Amino acid sequence: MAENQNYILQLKQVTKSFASVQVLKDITINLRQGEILGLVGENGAGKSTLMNILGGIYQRDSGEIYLNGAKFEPVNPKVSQNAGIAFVHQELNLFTNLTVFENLFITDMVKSKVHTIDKKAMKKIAAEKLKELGIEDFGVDEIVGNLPMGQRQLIEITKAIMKDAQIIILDEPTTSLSNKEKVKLFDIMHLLQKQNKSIIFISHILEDVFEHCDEISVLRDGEIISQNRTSDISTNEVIKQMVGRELNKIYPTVEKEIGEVAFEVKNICQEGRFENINLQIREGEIVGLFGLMGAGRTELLRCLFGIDPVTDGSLIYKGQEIKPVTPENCIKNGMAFITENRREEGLLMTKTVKENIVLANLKEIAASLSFINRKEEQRETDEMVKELNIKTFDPARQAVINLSGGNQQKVVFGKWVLRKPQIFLLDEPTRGVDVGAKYEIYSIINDLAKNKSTVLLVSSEMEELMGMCDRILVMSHNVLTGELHKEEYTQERIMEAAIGGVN
Amino acid sequence: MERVKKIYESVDAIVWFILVFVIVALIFVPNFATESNITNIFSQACVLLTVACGVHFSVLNGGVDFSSTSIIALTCVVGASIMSTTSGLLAGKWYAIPVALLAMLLIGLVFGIINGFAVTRFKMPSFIVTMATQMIGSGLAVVYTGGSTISGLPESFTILGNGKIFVIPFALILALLVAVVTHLVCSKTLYGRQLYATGTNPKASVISGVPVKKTIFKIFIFSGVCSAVAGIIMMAQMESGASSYGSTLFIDIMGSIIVGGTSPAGGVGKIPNTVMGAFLIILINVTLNLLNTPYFIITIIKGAIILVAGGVAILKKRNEKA
Repeated sequence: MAENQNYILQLKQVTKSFASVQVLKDITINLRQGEILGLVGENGAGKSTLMNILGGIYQRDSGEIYLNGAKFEPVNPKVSQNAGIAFVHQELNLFTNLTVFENLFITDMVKSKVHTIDKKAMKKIAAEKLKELGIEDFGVDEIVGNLPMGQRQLIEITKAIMKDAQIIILDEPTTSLSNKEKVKLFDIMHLLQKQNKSIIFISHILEDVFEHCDEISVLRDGEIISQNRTSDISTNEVIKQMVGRELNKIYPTVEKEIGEVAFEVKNICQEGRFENINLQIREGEIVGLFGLMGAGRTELLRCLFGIDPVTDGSLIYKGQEIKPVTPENCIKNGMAFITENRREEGLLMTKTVKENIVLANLKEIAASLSFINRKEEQRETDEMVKELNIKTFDPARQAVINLSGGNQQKVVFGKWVLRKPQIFLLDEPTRGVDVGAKYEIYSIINDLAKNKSTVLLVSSEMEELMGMCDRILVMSHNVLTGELHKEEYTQERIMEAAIGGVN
Repeated sequence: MERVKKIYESVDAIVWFILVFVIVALIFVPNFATESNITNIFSQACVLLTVACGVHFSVLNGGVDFSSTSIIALTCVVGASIMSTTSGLLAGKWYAIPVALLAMLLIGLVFGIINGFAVTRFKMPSFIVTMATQMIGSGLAVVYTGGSTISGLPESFTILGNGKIFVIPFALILALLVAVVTHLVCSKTLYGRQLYATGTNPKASVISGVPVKKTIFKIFIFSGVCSAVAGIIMMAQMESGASSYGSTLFIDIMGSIIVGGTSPAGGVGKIPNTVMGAFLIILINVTLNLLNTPYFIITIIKGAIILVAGGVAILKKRNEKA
């Protein structure tokens, strides 16, 4: 088998444990030259661990790796890089204060004869490289921090293939991309494929995987369930293999009653952005907010929660004005906010599950002299871990940085669900979360609505909004341009409103 | 073997450093285990550990408080100028001591308010703000005294500095009281939780309803007041007040905190470890003095030990994570 010329990379019976937990069991994967292999699996299935072993970041416990038929030992990232394995991580590792070309050359700057940095040469190579990949949206002199997320992702990929890579690992590269940017990314993937390079493409979005991969490998609980040619397997089969159970519905339904208008946003203004934004949400209602990138959805939620300044307008819950609009006071009045970027704004990554879950509820568990009631703290943590099915070996000891993406997001939810919020603002709550965890998160949201919370849900996935929401508001260029009720939902109408505000 | 390893890993690096240092000193340094030397170590540790507990708060937030040393100087000269029986403003009055102590605490508080205000309101880095207030404070102390030392403090006050029970100086009891209070605040209270959260990720903290600005403001209040208490102890031990007091202390303060394993990046660190760090620094000072080591040789050795101890603390933590 190892002699098969067709395979550029083969993994045989690779295993890996952390502490006493086995995260990879007998992994066997084959990657053919010039092909794209889709690797799918729930969060925590072990995809990232597996790729980190290939990238030389983790060391496997046992098993063998063959590269071009020869045994390969990725003992550190340098070895992997030199062997032609390029790894584009899920999180962008760019220096936002530096220019595009500086980032591209960050590991080895081109030097002139006198050992100064040769900017001219670097700019030239960088420009050629970008041109080769068909990237024209930005110049090499631009500061990375000024570019939108999607373009940064393209820089990251360019960076990874600056040195001639034969295998490119893309770990969830599309999570922060708009549709247009995604198309660009896939173009580049196929371009690389034509150059006879091999790609491992990790993604939660099955449509993309089916459309662009030659083979699909399913990973579940640290085991490879299957590896098939894309034409030999259906989406439903893959989903079934991923979760290990039949998933009848993507969106859970719930019996609930929609009551009177409870939460009102009146004439919210922010200088230079919003002018008199008005919206109302009824008790138990889930309202979706759709908009294209840059439409102002996230910015509106940040205003409503007092993170960004509000110049005028008011928030009213059941006749009572919430004032002043600051995060502290909003929380006190029963509001909760799940931000789109859990690592930067949602979690204390290096702290434990427990510390994160009780963070928004600290004042409530402070006893006399403001001493924290430890018993209560533990009880609340256990309650949330159980209720939200957070997978952790010990919430009081495990840092959230060591949890999978889906479980991290559940910790963020736990922090708020604990407070039983009346007004729940959600910004892309299922981003980077796998199918199984998505279903669980949808159920959490539904349960809150059933208990008479009002929910405002921002998402870039139209289907998610259509499946979850009782009503959808559409935003375009910082203005609400459309409102659709359940019976009016069609993707065309939503999109119409989303681009309607352009002129 | 497994068990030994477990014990080794469950105890912070600073404990091993102190243990190793004391054992080596017991074997190789004559006069180390004498009563007078132990008392000496204890009394020298008082000022350092008190002020280090205060500065610990700002390091937990990834900042620093340079002004602590100048608060010691300023409180000493002002306190002495009020209570001195020979030249004091309230010389001989029965309320001289309480007024002086209140004035000293007030100075610490005012510096804390200025530092805290500048850092939270104008979003200035604590590095710059406290460096400036340090300069202002130490300047004021010199101007106030004209450079002279104010002595003649009442005995009922200096007993705090020279009195002791067995080998335990009274001042140490006060210093440990400060340590216990700050430890409780950091580890058991609402404020402590908010402080660690802010030090770890201020953005996520704000969104979770932590009053980040207030939390940071209070850091400097704690730091200022602890420094003032350190000033009280220093003045009692020296039985005088002078503008030079505390001026060389800053390196030892940061040394105590870093050796104790507190991360300068914020969010991680324990007061008991800072207290032990302060003891380690003093142990080094006193022991090398016993061996008649010249001052600058002491600083070289101290620097090396801080480097090694700080490094080991970080390595140990990294291994535990993996």
